[in-house]
Amino acid sequence: MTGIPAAAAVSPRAPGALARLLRHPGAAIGGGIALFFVLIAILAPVLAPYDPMAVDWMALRSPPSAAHWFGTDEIGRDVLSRTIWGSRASLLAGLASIALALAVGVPLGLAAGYFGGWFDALAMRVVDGMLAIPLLVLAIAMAATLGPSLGNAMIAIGLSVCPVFVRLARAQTLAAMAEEYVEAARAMGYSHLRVALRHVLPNTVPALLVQATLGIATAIITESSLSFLGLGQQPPAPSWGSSLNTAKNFIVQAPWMSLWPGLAICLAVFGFNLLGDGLRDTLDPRDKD
Amino acid sequence: MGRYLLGRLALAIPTLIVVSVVVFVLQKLLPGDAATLMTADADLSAADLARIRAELGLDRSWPAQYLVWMWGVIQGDLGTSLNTKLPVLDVILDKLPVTFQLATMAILISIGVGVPLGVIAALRRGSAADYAVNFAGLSGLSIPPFWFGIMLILAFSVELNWFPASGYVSPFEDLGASLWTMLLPAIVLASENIAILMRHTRSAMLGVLKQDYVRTARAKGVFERLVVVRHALRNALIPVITLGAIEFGRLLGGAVLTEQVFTIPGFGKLLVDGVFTRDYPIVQGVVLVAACCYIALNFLADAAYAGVNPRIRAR
Repeated sequence: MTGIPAAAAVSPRAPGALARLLRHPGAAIGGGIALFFVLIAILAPVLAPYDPMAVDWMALRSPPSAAHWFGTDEIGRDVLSRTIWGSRASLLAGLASIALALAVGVPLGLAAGYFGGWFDALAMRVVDGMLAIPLLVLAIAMAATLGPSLGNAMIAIGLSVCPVFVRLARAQTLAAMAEEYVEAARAMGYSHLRVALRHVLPNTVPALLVQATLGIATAIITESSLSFLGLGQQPPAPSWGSSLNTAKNFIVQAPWMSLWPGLAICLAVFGFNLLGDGLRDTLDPRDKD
Repeated sequence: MGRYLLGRLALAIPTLIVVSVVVFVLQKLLPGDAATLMTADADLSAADLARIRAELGLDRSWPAQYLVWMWGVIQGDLGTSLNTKLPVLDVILDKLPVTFQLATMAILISIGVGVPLGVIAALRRGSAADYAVNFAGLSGLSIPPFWFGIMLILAFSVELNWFPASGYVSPFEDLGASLWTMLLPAIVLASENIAILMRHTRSAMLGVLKQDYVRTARAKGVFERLVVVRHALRNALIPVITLGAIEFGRLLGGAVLTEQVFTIPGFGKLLVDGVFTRDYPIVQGVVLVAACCYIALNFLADAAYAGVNPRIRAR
């Protein structure tokens, strides 16, 4: 029984932040949408009425019906099932590429802000240079170099959005370094590593969490763009972007093929954007109007 | 102001160097090198390949190769297209005006729609109109442009038959037809930017409306409309216009998907075609030119900002 008050004492702000988040209508709705897609991705085998790869030559491009709620595609595969399974590629790409961007970007930004000097100057010039290349152009060039596959698309997206996280982690580190408790920790003779990880890093978390959530939205759009161009998930594996690549050729004959994967992207991205904005309102006091 | 701009210009040089290194490294990471790519069709012995490599300078170290390549780039030599054998720079300069027209139309639409909506949202903060604008803004950021394009084609080209679904007409041949053909693509390209400009205008206006000089103007009894336009909007627009210039640089890159959906023979389509025909000099050239456009527009934005903001001009 004594464990619960003790845990609460360690992080007294945590429950308050969550409660504020749930009271924020945007964050609650956005979080609900994000959770909805996570559940769909996990439960895809249970939820999908058909095998997403099953070809039905008797039902080519059939419009939405009781048997196929979202219709069928050009080789008779069930669009609903493929949209459900496609959530896996998009969410996986969104989460994995942002995890990569955080894993590479945060240590670099933390080190640049903490140590300063030539390393900081060099890191910032590299960040500026990478940010000068439009995100999609860089991601396309990297994905083309690595070869078209979902895994390579994730690496390309992760590395392309990485500079944003380096810059943010550095800025947050500089802000935390000005705080008295960091100075105190240094004065007490703690090692650089301990001060950086135990005292500076926790202070960068709220801003990074906001950016990561918005980053997932960007990554999902970018993954679907790469897959749409043929540089991401390869057919016949289901993905929203690559489905749209095929569907655009049947826009006149079978518009339902384009409608559902596109709406799924919109809703998923909208959810993460809404959640990110809500997180910013509740966690990040600086950006208040 | 001169010193300020010189400082900005000095910052652009390391940025350009980093971009060139990124492009160079991407080229080196490719499976195979220029020699194997150029001679992919020919059946050559290992000795012939080695000779070609030596001729191209591929037997030298990476830093040496980078310097040779960079020296060429500075002189405007971006290499030769592997497929058409044309100079890459010529091919890009041929396609750039098409994308430039598309991006110009898109930025005008973004400003024309985004700024007024942002102002309305700020003036009626907390009202239904404010929520509607915020919702529309977030939606604009969430719609994948290629899908939005497909939906517009479905509605306005297939169903209503108002617009051609694809293609390009040069403005020098038929200006009206050119603008009309480019309208749907420009709206698609603008969708994200409308949202970005709207959100920035709203927060800039909210910031300005809190300022002392706005309160003073109101206290003097200046008409509310004059306060909004002359005192608030003019100041709020400064950061928005700067952002618009930077966004224009991003639009050149963002045109990739729009051009793909509407089959517009521009800069972005060149990139995608280059990727699929394995024409890597073209891909590198496009990345390099896109980054240069972005850096140049950023510099222009800084200059414009300094031009209208006396606090920077004085430096």
